[in-house]
Amino acid sequence: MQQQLSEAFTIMLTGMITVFVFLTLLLMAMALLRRFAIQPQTDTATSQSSAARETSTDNQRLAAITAAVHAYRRDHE
Amino acid sequence: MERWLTLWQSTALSAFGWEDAAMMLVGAILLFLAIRKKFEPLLLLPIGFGAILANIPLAGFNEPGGILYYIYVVGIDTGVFPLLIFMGVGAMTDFGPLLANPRTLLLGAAAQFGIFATLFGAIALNAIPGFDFSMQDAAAIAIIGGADGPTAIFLASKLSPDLLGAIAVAAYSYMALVPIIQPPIMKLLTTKAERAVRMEQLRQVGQREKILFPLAVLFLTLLFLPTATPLVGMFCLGNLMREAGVVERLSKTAQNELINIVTIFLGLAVGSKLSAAEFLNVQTLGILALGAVAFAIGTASGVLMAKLMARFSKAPINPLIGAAGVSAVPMAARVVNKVGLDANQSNYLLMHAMGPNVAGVLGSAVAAGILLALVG
Repeated sequence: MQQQLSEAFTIMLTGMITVFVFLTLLLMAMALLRRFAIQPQTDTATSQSSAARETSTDNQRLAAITAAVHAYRRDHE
Repeated sequence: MERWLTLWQSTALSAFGWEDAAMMLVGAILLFLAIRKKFEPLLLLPIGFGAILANIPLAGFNEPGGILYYIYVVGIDTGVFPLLIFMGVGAMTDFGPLLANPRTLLLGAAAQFGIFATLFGAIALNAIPGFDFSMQDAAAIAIIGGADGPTAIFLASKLSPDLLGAIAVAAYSYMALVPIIQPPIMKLLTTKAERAVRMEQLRQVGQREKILFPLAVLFLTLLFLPTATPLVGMFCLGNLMREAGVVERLSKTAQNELINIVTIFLGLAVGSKLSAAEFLNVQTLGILALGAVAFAIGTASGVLMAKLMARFSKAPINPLIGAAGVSAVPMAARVVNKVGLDANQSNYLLMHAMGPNVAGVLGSAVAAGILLALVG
């Protein structure tokens, strides 16, 4: 029993450390990936403008959703 | 007269034991939860029906020659069904939010503490008479804390097939209960001001990055953790099919038709493991209790990790998103969004929570690989 418990404890420690080390490695790989995968200039320009457009529609949508939520809360109180 | 006796002996009524009836009742309860309460109906419905079929006396569904026996041997004994489901999940997963904010990977790692703490808890439970979990059993039970059905079934089929029925039922039931289990823990560990924190908008992620990511994950896994490659490999294949953009038909099949077909058979096969001998004992109660503990610890450690990161980070981090690290995609992220909205009515955390959420899927697959390597 005692021995089993200490074994379980060791597995807990090694397991948690391995998970963290592995995902930290992946984190570094992602940083490399990001540098490696930067798109050509023209691409970023168009994606930026489309991002800007999306933000404005996002805001409109957000306003609509907030209004709907308020209306719902008002009706259901 | 003798003929009548023979006929009577061939009916279910004469052969019914109370155990069979009790297990059919369990099946009926699962059907009720699926249909009436809408608890993970896609899985609990076939599981519940499979449980009823498997316990019909004299019908022999579970013996060589019976259909459930073959479905189990073909799909779960071999590990094929959970892996096919994982491919479909990969094809459904968008890594964009994770790539936009890679640090959330650490939240997915922290939430796996639920798994390893439960492994310790399962062994500690052996102190109570009536419990006798081996290290393999404990590992298979602990993976419930990964909140990931296919991973739990895959690991249980490899480490502890006798407990598979109870483990799968616990995993899927608790995934359905995420909206009830998580919020109290999240609120306990955070202040209202912390819950109201707004996060910066995520950057756009390019296609090239999304294509290279599953390949990078696979590369690291095969180097450092080959035991996790069945799960991670199928997941990455599904994700690559999605992001490559050239095999849309395959990606659609993996995330719709294929995963639906496999789900039917997976549910039936899990149901077939709900037999009286393997389910009606005190160990099942222990598994259900440990599963809930695993979920709670996973949620708590995710939130605490997020609080720690918020302290050292320049960009604001809302600690609630840590709770999404327990996978259970996308339910956990939705719960985070809802609790966040309660604190600040115009704060939408859904996309921010999707990062730790998909990180949790990777994290639990990695944890499963570690458990296989250590106790398998």
